[in-house]
Amino acid sequence: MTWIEEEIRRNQRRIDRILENPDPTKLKANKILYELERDLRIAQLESWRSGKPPLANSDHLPQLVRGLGCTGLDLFGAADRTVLATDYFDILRANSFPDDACDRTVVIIALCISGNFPPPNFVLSTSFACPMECISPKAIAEYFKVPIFHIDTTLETGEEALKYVADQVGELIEFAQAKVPGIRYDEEKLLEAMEMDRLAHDCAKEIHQLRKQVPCPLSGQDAFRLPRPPSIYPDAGKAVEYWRVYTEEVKERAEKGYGVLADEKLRFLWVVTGPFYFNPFDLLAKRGVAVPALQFGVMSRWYGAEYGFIGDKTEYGRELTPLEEQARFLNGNTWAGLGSRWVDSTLNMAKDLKCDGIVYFLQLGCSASGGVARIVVERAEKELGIPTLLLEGRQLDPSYKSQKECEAELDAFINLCLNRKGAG
Amino acid sequence: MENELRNLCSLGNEANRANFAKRWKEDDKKVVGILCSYVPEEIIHASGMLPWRIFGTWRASTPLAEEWRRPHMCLYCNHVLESLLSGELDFLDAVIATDWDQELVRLWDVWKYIDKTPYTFIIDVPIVNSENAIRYFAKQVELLCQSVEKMVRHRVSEEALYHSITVYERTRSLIRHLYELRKAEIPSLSGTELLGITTSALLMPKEEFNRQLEALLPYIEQRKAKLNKNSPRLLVSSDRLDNPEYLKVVEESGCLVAMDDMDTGSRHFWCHVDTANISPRSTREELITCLARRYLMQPASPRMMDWQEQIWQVAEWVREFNIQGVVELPQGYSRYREFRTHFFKHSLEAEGIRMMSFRREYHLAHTAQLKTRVGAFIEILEAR
Repeated sequence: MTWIEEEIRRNQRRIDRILENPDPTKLKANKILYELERDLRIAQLESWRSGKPPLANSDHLPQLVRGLGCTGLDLFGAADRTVLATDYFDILRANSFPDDACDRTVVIIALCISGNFPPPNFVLSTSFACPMECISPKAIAEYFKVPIFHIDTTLETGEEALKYVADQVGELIEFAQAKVPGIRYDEEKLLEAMEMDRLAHDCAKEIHQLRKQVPCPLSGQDAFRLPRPPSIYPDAGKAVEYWRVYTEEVKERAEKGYGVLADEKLRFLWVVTGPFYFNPFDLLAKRGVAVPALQFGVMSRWYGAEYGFIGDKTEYGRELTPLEEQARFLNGNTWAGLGSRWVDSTLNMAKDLKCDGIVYFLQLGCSASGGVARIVVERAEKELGIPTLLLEGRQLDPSYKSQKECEAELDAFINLCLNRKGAG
Repeated sequence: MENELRNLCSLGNEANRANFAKRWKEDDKKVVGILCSYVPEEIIHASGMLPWRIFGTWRASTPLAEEWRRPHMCLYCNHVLESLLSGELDFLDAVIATDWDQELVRLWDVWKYIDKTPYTFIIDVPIVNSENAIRYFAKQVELLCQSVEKMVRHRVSEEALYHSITVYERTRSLIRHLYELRKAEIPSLSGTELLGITTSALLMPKEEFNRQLEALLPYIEQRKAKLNKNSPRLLVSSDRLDNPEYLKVVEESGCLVAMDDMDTGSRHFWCHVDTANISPRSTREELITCLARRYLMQPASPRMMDWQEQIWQVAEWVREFNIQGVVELPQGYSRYREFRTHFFKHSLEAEGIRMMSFRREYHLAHTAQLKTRVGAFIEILEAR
């Protein structure tokens, strides 16, 4: 059985478990989420088997992928869900690819080579978040000899940069229609996808306000989940529904003053990513540490903490065209560009959420975050008066750092923060 | 003349590399550190400052840098940061980086944060070379020019820019001539010596370099390089390789490095500015667009997305320079190249070109392993 088939079964098992034995401490919206995830894999599998509609990687431009009439492949999202990637690292080594770059970006290559996940029929490569997210899809395109289009994103934002990238999005559409059988651009579909994502974006903004509340209505595990825009899923309308139900539940908890932790002693901002092979939030919860948010590349925009995405007129002082909206998204990742964008965004988030400490996961091979980690440490201490734990590790490889070692570091950091807060 | 040649070859060595820059400063003139081969140096030259390529320390350990960056990050950046933090780059008046890769951007971020150099600037270089990208890059070059003008507090005139372009073109022509001489069965210069000259060119005032090389050319043209073996003829492909000792290790394994594909060598000097389209009366926009095109269209490094064209370029060099095999020396954690290796190997093999890859450190290390690997590769080539 391929990984994608296993993933369908895994999500079905989760749904069955919820139906058979619902856990009142978990969000009810989770059931919808698992159904969405299951249906996404089914759609990908069907496209893989039948060749229709064409498959295109959708991590960076999910709305446009819908507008092109393709089935989206969430390459990095799939890699995250492999949880343990030992076999995939072997495949990388055997094929002369580096095994020590950021896990989620390299594992996708092995996932496709192994036959466990469909390779795209058309690859969109963009320097959206980091060079690795640009070159690993490129490596896949070259390996499977499929058409690829590169979009060059910019170091800084502004009208000039917006135009440059929007022009490239236009070129991409022309290229895809000319080179990939079965691709036909339909602006109506793009607009529809944008509208779905906008609705979810509005929910995300509301959730961001709610999670500031003490005690925190969100569990660390929920906060850690990367938000997926509705346009990723085959049934985008159902995905909007998921966001609405999710928001309502969080709102209800907040209104009742319900906190996930019985006694919230501290709150940490979890930054970058984390180990996927165990759940670090159990230990944190046990020690009374709430984690209201995961800070990552598009977090501040997706949750509207800074500028928003779709339809936000404040950033450019005007409404953007659909292609400019795609360009705004591509240029809006705080991991890309100058380090100050990422550092400022991280500190603003920690301040906004009234965090007592930052857990900064130093993912092996992540140049975006690793290269400015010490600046975050120094500025967080100086400007916010809070400490930062630099927790080095790998997302998908426990041989680099075991659960025990991670937990020991977290435990010591909690003690330090409790002492500083005078609650030790 | 042999002594002069040896001297020119050794100016890039760690002990010598700042000599010209420090002498330049004695006349109360400024030195601008350059972190990438995509920075159009002519702009800085035209402003009256010295563009000086930054190399890192060749020491093995980088304890000061590792306070800021992890050891498993780009080694060039770590070694440069070590030099900066140990005070070796205190004489710089400015530093200019690009987004060659994110590691370089992050090095620049730290550089700016620790505030040891009076002036910092970073230029956005596209990863594609479409007409749209060239237009965008030209605007970035204009921003660089404006930034440089602020620093020197005077306008960079069109005449000065045109003059600088001609000076740099002369350097390129001279170095291209040296590459032509490598086509001979017994070339004038070994690969080690040529890398010594090209790295010196990145550090010296161009007028001085041109003068020295022009004086040496007649001698070099009749010279025969002293080599253990003249074959097989290899092409070495790498980025930020500034230590000629690496090529010495390769050549001592029993071969000749007859060509390179490096940003400290051929790639940096290969492509000319299209001077047919400019003159001393050209506008600033015309001159800058011409420069932008030249820098974006130079034989590409793996950070550019035209990998197939990079293969064609290497294959062309292989034919032109009668190369029998390609040795790739990716510097550790240089991700663009590492991700390209699979494609590079298979594409070259499809062209009938044998290739080996050996991940290297920035400083000279693992030489015995490298010798063994190259030795085994040579045996394979000779058995064909």
